[in-house]
Amino acid sequence: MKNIDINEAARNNAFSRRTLLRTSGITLTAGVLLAACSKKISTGSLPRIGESPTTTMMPEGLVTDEVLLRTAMSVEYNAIDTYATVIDAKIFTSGTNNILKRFSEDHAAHADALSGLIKQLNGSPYNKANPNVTSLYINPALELVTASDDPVTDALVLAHALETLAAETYQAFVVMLADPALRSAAMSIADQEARHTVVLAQAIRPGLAGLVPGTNESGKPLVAAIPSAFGSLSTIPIAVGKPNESGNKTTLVLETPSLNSFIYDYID
Amino acid sequence: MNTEHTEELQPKTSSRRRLFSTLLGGAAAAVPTLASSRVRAGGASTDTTVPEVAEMTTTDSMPMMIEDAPMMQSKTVSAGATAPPLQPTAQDKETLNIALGVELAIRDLYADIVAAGNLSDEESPVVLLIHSHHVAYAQSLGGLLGRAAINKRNDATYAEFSGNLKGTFASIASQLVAIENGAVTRHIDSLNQLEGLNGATLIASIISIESRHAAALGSVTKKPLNAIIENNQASIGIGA
Repeated sequence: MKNIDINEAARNNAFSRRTLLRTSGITLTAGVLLAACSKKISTGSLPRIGESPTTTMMPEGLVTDEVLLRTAMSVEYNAIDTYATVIDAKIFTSGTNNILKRFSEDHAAHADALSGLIKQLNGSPYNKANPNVTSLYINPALELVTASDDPVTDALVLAHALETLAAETYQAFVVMLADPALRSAAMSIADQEARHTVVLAQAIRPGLAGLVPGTNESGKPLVAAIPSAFGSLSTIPIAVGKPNESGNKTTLVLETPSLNSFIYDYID
Repeated sequence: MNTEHTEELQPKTSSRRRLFSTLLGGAAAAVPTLASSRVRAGGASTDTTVPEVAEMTTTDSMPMMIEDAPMMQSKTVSAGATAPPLQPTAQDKETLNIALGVELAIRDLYADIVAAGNLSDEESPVVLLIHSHHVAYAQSLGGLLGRAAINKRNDATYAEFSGNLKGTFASIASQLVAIENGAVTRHIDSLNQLEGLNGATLIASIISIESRHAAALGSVTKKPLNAIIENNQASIGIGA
């Protein structure tokens, strides 16, 4: 057997520990220096292999006085459209229909007034109903009302909720409107929307008892002409439609337009 | 033990130290360069200028592809460039004090009606409810004004209406509607002057219900629809 001199073998080994450390050290140093000197070309996205889908970007929505007025205008058109549908459905007698027509004219006048204000801000009036309010609240509610066993009451409840929504919208916008004159204009419209709610509340629950808050036998709050001391900004629950096996109607909850339903200036 | 082997390793050890020190030195030298590049990238990503899509046409679809998007521009929100103050300004305090005086006067008018004892069991809760609302408005306005509150009722308003509130509910309802409508007009006018948001939001929430007071009182006393849903009443509390 051949004797092996370990020291000799180590000297003859081309890949010694010293060489390893020296090579790796030089490599690391060179890498750090190259990285430091390199130009940053990343755009922030993660590197990807293969086909990548095209990135889409939403336009930036800024909440300005113009946007708020356009949104308020859209809510006025929500009311106009809903009243037109209810009147066409021949749910009410001509007397009630005449009241709804008067309310609809008021909303058209409000929309005109808002249009003038928007033009003063060099904005574009929005002459359509708010699509989110329509799809989320009004269309489902109208379906339930037309299928209801008591469409007269349910239509009145829906109309009351819509007028409440409109009044709340203006009140909610006061804190967001930058121009005090616009806050005043907004609340002068809200004044009339609030009066509409009273007429409808009295149609649902007439007389002096219907002015003050109350509850039914099961403890649920009843519609009241004067529901609270201060104007509420809370959600508006309504129960409409054909009762289920338990006797309960479907509950919908309406909310004033917010960031996801504002009519931004890029929306046509 | 082979001491020779130990002696041979000595130079290796010193060489390894040099290697590590070289590595550390190189890395340390590279850190400032890397750090500065990171800062630049961070600065770019947190740019606070607000981009805006300019000149979108009616045929533009949303969302828009980046490569199709027109040049992004920074936009100044003209009306909202300076945030309004929350607390009432000195001018606001004068306006809110007038509103407070009006509410205190209305509170006293309703208190007089209740004290007169001409209300039925059905009418009394309604008048008491509306009275309690005006008490709440006065308290809220007083709370917002703090030490600046002049807790004195508007005597002109009180004197204008107090003489006509002696009869039955049906006979005084028109006067109550006029009081509520006049208060609404007063508060809507106030909003035109108020800069502080706290005062503006409080006044707005009062308007929402005082409008209902007026319409409700008109409704139960069988006023025509126009009289219920329109407010042509002049402002009360002028010159307070």
